[in-house]
Amino acid sequence: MSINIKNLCFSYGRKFDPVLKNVNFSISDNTITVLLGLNGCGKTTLIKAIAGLFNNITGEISYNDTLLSSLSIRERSKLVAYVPQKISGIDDVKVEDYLTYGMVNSLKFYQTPSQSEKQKTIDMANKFHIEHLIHKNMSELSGGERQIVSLVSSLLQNTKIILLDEPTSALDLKNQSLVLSILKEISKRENKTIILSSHNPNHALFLECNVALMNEGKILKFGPANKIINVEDLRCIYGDNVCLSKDLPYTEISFV
Amino acid sequence: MKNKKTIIFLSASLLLFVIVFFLALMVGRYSISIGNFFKALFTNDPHFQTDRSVIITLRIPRTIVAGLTGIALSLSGLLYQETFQNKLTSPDLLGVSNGAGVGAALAIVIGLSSAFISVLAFAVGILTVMTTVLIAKFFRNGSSTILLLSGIIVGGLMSSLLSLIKYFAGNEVKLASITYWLMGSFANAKMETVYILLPIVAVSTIFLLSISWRINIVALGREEAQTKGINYTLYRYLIIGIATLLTASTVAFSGTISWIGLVIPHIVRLIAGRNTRKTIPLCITFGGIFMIVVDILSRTFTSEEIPLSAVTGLFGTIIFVIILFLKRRDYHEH
Amino acid sequence: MKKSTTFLVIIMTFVLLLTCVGCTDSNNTKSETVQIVDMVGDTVIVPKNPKKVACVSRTTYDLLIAYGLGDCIDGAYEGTLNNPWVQIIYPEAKDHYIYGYNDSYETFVVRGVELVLAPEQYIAEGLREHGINAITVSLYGNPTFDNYVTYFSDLVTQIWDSAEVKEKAELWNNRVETAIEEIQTELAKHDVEEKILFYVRGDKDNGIGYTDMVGSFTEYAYRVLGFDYVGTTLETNKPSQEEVMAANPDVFVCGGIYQNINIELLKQEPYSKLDSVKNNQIFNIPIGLTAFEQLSAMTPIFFYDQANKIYPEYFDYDIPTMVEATINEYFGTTLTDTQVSYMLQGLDAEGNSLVR
Repeated sequence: MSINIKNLCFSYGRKFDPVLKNVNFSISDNTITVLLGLNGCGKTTLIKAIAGLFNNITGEISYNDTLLSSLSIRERSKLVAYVPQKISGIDDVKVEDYLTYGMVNSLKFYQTPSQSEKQKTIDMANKFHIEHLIHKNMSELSGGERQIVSLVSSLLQNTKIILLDEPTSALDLKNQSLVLSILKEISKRENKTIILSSHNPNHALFLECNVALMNEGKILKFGPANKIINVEDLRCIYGDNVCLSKDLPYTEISFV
Repeated sequence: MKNKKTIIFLSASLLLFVIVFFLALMVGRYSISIGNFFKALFTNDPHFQTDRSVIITLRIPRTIVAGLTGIALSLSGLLYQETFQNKLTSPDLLGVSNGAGVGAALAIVIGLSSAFISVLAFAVGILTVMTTVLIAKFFRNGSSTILLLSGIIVGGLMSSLLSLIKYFAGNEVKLASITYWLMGSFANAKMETVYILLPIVAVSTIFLLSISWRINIVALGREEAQTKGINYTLYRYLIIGIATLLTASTVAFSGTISWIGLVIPHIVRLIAGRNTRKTIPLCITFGGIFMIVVDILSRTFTSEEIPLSAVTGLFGTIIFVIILFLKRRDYHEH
Repeated sequence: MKKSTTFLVIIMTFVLLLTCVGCTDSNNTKSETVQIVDMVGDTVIVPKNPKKVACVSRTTYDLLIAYGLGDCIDGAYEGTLNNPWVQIIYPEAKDHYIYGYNDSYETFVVRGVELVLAPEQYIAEGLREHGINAITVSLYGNPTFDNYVTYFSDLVTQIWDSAEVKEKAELWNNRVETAIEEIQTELAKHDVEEKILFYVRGDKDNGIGYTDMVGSFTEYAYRVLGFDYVGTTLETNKPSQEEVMAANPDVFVCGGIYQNINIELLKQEPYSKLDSVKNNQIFNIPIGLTAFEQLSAMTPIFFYDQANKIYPEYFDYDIPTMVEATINEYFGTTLTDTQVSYMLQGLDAEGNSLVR
């Protein structure tokens, strides 16, 4: 049971250089995978490709031998949820409303969430301790709160796979740790397969998960974080200044 | 709590709609006392046949058309604002009104009858939006910005075409008719107009009410809508199509009416927040009330009817400023 | 390179020559002038006995021809010349140039027009700024038309120094005055009740709610005949449908090329419920070379015709005979009885609608 990506190539247009060049890897169920790499290496593009936001990809993305491209938008949304780096168009939207939007794929076009579905939303909000936020506007939330609300909304979508595009990029240290802890918890308790992109190798170490090191649209290495993340490999991507904290002349602050 | 507020506003405005509708039938330059009004409407007394005729052949059709136009324009305003995630867009965003104006002006210059002015206005209005969409397609970029830009381009082209037609109209008679048409009026509303407009507005409105909750998700933009399981492209074109149909069909009969498509959605959002499930029904009642009141103002105080856009502009601005003032606390919090 | 330079020089010389010719030409024609005050009170110096006049103002064409000055006309407003009666009553009209309402001054320069009779002050002023002789002959008087009925007629006698023109103009003035006096005297004998009259102006397809206000000849004409003219108290010439209903006129008179369409409109609701419509108090105004309700050779007949129609109990003028005689006298054309009858019904010479 796994996600399989075969010979995946993508470019934003005929005149542009390819962003993804022959990506091949597979991710097994109930694991977390962190995509690591420089800005512009194709992390976000890869996540969006899996989310089904491009229709001119070549190669295959499949889940349990089902080609994702053969699924309808609705069927796909029941398998894969996507949390964008920044949510747009939510200026005056109430948090409680936003959360229910995650359930749209289980409703007919004329239906609205029933009382029981609304209750499910509140239960989920309670579970992630955001019940105090639900009457607020999305625009009133802090970056961390917004990221969690967005994540909860995607959990309400009730999919096997959750994709997150740099969920920690706009967050302070406390919120980074909070979001990552939640992700770790979800993957364990709820049997979810999570793929996220990040700039910080420490996040992968903290999550104790798989890592895909990406460079110029290709996967350089793929494997468990503690094996992949070593100074030599990181230097290939991030440059020669990378070092382990124990080699540093000062003590680095990191997650516990 | 917010739900309760919406229900209160909705039922109050529904009641007000009915009151305003009857008020519109009662007032006008031809004065009818309240007693005579009821006798004219509910008895067969031949003594009141002139009153009855004024009510039935003049006031009823124009009031219904005003109500429908108000509903159509505020709904399409709201739809465009939500779909394009831009609060400052109005129903003529993709060039419907400009196109309809060109069609009407052309018909006036050629010297066609009022029925053909409507047909041509409608047709050119729809064609303009199709051109806009086609140009956007040509850029091979699905983003809303390209569509907006394309709307501005085509809209600009249409307004210059309009100037050109006005120039060639030459004749002071036709020029005056074009100018008058461009400012909007319900003076030519007949029962036939109602028979055409009512089905269009009713069907569109019922459909929009049924998908009103989903429009929220379309409003989140392509990425989110699509990954949440909504066929974004389909819904967006559907919404653009309905908004265009609503605007083009009302504009074809009543001329271009500014402001309402911008003001009503804003007022409604201030009341109900940003949830199309609530704002769409409120837009229907508020838009209808607003337009009927505007029509009453335009035809009751002067012996010549004041163009609608003049009234909507004035009246709309005042309401808008008042509401922003009352709600300024909310804006400070953000 | 060299070829094109030569070409340019030739063209430049040509243009220069043309300009010189233009200069000398205009100098030659500058002979006698006369100072007049036009209808809006502008004092203007215009050439005496002009040979090329542009009748852009609607009321001027008909009377100039009637006074025997048809040969001095260069052209007229398209609205005037589009009327099919023009070709029948005055066949020479086919040589007349068709002017727009507000043509550019160049049009007049190119055609060598000596005097423009403009419908509005701004148009006349604009032309004068470009050195073209232009005066305003408005369709409206300020504040009312009372002092303007013979104004244009008098202007013509000032501009054209001819005993014949003077005689014809005086005759016309007298006829108008006589017609008004005759009708007023007759009505005074009968102590008639003042009737509310609504004039439906039908020169455009504007429906019933379109009339003429204070200042127009129509308002003057019906007022002196003793009517309570609805337009007198209106602040607009486009009253709403309800305004017309509220006025509840005793009589509707419909003029212009849309008159027959408007008469049909009056027979529909809500107007059909008015007493005047039920009692068939709807009358038309004939259209000849000019609509009868505009100052023209037919103005005296306009009064007789309306008196006949609205007060059949007091008046019985033989309108067809009058029309035939007047047209023959002024324009030298003999119309058949059928043609006259069509004219009186507001139709064209073949009995079809004037609207096309």
